[in-house]
Amino acid sequence: MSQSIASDNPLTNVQRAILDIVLDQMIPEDSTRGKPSAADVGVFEYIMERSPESFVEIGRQINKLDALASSSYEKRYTELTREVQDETLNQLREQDSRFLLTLAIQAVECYYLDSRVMTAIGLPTRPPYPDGYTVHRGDLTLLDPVRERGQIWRRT
Amino acid sequence: MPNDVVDVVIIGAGASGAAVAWSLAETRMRIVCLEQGDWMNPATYPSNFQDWEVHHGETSAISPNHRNRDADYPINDTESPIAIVNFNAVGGSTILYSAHFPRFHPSDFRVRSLDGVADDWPIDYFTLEPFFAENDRNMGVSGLHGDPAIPEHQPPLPHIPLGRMGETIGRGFNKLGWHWWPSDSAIITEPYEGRGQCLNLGPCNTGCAQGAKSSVDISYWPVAQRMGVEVRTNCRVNQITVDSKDMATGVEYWNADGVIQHQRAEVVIVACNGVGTPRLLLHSKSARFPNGIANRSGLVGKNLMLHPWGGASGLFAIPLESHLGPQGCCLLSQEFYETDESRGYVRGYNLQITRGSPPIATARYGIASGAIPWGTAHHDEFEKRYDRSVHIGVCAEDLPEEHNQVVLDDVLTDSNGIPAPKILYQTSENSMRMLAHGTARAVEALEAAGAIETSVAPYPIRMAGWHLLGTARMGTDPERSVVNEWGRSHDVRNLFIVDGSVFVTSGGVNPTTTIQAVALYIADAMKQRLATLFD
Repeated sequence: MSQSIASDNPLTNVQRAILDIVLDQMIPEDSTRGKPSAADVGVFEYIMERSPESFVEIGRQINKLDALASSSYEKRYTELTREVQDETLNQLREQDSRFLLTLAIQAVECYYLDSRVMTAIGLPTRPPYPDGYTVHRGDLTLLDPVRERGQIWRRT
Repeated sequence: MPNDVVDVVIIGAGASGAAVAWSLAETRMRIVCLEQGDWMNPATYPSNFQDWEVHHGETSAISPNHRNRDADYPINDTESPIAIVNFNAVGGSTILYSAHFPRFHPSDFRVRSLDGVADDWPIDYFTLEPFFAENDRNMGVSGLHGDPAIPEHQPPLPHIPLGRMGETIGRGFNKLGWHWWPSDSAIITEPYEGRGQCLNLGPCNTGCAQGAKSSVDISYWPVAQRMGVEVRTNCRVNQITVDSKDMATGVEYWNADGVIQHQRAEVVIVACNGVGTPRLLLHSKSARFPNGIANRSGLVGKNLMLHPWGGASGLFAIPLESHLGPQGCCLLSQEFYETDESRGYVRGYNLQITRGSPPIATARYGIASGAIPWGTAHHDEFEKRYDRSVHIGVCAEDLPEEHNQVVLDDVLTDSNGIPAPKILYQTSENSMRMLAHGTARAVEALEAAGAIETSVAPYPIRMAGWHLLGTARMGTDPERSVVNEWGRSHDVRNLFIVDGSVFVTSGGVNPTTTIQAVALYIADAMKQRLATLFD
């Protein structure tokens, strides 16, 4: 990675391209459910806003992916087919179960805040307050067996 | 003048401080409450924001060590398997509690007589019963009359909704023939005393934006203030001062500007709960009390009880709307609350059935645990987990043991230089057996209700030290207790303790309503004895 890193852009262009590929590998689009790819929900901007320091480790791990692609296939990670990208990513994840876990956690936070995703899982795209939610009050006849059994508290 | 002699100074504006202030206010005495935190602004609570789940982690962390707000003090809990969690503000830990509000049982006050362990309390359930009812009215408590596991009482408001989830779990308990009931909850289900009803926002334990959860900043305090009680915020007490006749003279504190003050008072009431109270007493050293004020028994800080928690989660094949509704309040089961020696331990536990995880928590846990994979299978696995999970918590009665204690840390201090509390605590063999039994029963209940997959969390759960009890115990023998049967220090006749530290035993349920009933009972005892209070 020879490109310089500007202060407002903690990843190089190649790292950004790999990040987008990895995000799509994590959570690909599901058109039948109306759910976008994690590469399409603004994960980079989300992390920039909340914990830009995470990019130091994320960048390092992305470099590992690219290095493994180079040593195994003599290609950049971005140049591999999706099948080979998956194999490469899985190889590093099998070696270290925490590989890119910080990215994954932040990616799902961002993903499930996306309006399209919230709609797809049946949530309104708004804060809980002030409209709240309706919850079924419940069938109290289910308590009949408990009532019929009678007092169970211990007398003193 | 702010520091003229007042009749009563109360230290701490949480659950018990608010209750005692309200009760004493009718005497028209001059009462001042000193609180190291500030008033909370409900407009900042996470449920005001679409990204509330992420706000939760950033602003409402339950450990003071993680939260590290100006109002917090650090707690060294490295020598305890259970971390201490609390909140410092007007309202104290009721700002973040889940408002699950079961009462102690009559047997909880008689464990020595009934089961030959620990000690009996010097008071009993029926002494507290009118104060439980008074507290229910003042806080705003919802529940269903007729629970056969507890003496008859009538919560002032209708029960919180069971939802499809509650019905499903209730059917499971019925299959097993076990007790279950909608839990009493300090959440108002109808408009009450000028407050709006619960909207099922969900994250009660991050602060309630609607004001339906009965934290004491919006229940007790506005009334107590209207009755003349003064609340001074951002005021951290350094020590309680004492004269040569063993009478408290007041408290030394830093005011909101960071200037040290001495508030003189005829009566000092400590309401900082089971860690903050012994910390303050142990730090209040003098020639008369070289080991800390009110500590001639040597028991201040000892007998810490924390309620070790276990838990099991279940996944169901159908959507249960389990992410909706008050997160910590749905049902309870007290089938295993009382001693049955065939189980291999004494005393018992409460099963607290809580709602399922919201979407980000579902995904975050799933990704971290590997249950939800990366790739195309992500969507299927997320769908199997979201809205279909139920959790059952096991709240185990913790018996008092002197080696479990709060001491002052030799090195760690708060921002004013006051030594931090250090927790020395070990989970007992009895508690571990109880948690093994309880988590197995929780799994059984989930399976009976139709769970297709269950899991048990490692126990005791670390980040669950909410219930801080026993460190200035109540009793009639000055050598075996710190305060008498109505909360007055044996050693300092104008010093009272009204929080969970006076508990002799811990019961097996969340203690807030019992803490407040005890505070109201002590306030009432003080009012009955005003002419002879210091005799």
